[in-house]
Amino acid sequence: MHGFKCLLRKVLMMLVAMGFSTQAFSAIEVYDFSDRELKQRFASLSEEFRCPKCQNQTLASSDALIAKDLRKLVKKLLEDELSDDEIRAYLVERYGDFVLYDPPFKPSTWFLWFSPIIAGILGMLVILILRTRVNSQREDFTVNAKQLQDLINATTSGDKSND
Amino acid sequence: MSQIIKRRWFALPVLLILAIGGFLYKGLGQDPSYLPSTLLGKQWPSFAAESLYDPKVTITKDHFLGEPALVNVWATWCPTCKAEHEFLKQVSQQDQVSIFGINYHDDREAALRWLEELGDPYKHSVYDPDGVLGIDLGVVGAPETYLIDSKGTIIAKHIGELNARNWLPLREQLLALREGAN
Repeated sequence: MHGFKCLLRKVLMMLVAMGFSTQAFSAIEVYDFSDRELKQRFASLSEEFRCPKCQNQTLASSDALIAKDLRKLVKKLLEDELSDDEIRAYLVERYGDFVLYDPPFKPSTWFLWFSPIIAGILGMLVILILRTRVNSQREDFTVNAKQLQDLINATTSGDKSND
Repeated sequence: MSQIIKRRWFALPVLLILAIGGFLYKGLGQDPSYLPSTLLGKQWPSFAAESLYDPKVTITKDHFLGEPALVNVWATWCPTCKAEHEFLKQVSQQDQVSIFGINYHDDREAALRWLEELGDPYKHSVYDPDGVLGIDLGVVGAPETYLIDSKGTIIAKHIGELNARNWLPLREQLLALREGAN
């Protein structure tokens, strides 16, 4: 009986929490598309663009005024039968490469594209340097057979004298 | 010998740290929300929109042409617009420059009340309630101010509040445009 009450309370709390979560997302408007394909293209395109105002959110996830406008625009352009590439070009013409989460490869974005490779090369260099350093230090400690024998002799003779 | 080599390797991380530090230090002074306009040096997009004062009057790009001018994107919901409003009035009088207003994503009545109460520095006011013209301009928010030449080429764009300090470089450009025309 107690267990059932406890469960009921948990379920109720969960339902309340779910109610809040739908409220949090209700600000993003719902668009009706007659065509299922258009709906899918809209969903993927609005994930692909960055909101110019909030910068760390996609058009799909942002609640900013400009993101709303741009979602509306993407919907309109889709209905005007523009291709995905044409829609991308339309937005880039107005907002620059910045709106693309997947920026094109050109001189102004070289640094962006090459920086991971540069960081990788630097990392490998550091590892290489550290390894050669360890190896060179190890060489300092190598002793040849004769030296080793001398060392043993020295210690054993020392031990004898201690007796 | 090995001492020298060791010292040389020691310089590498120091240089690296200096380079990264320099790069990050340069970033400190920059505004991360600043987006370069794609329209600089290009033509102001052609448009036809309602006048803020009268829905029956249509304002087009031609209204903006003829002399170097400023175009200011503003809204009553934008506190920074209120902050710069007084300065815009001052600029329009002191520098004898035409300022065109684009009322962005706003309510017509609220906008008209605002202009009546605070004064109207704009030669023409365009009503853009859905931000349609804003998208063609790459407007991200309000306020934004553009400097255009007499033929409608966009010379400069300022994002955010226009004040005595950041007006100076724009003013230089405006004066250069006037000189070039004479």
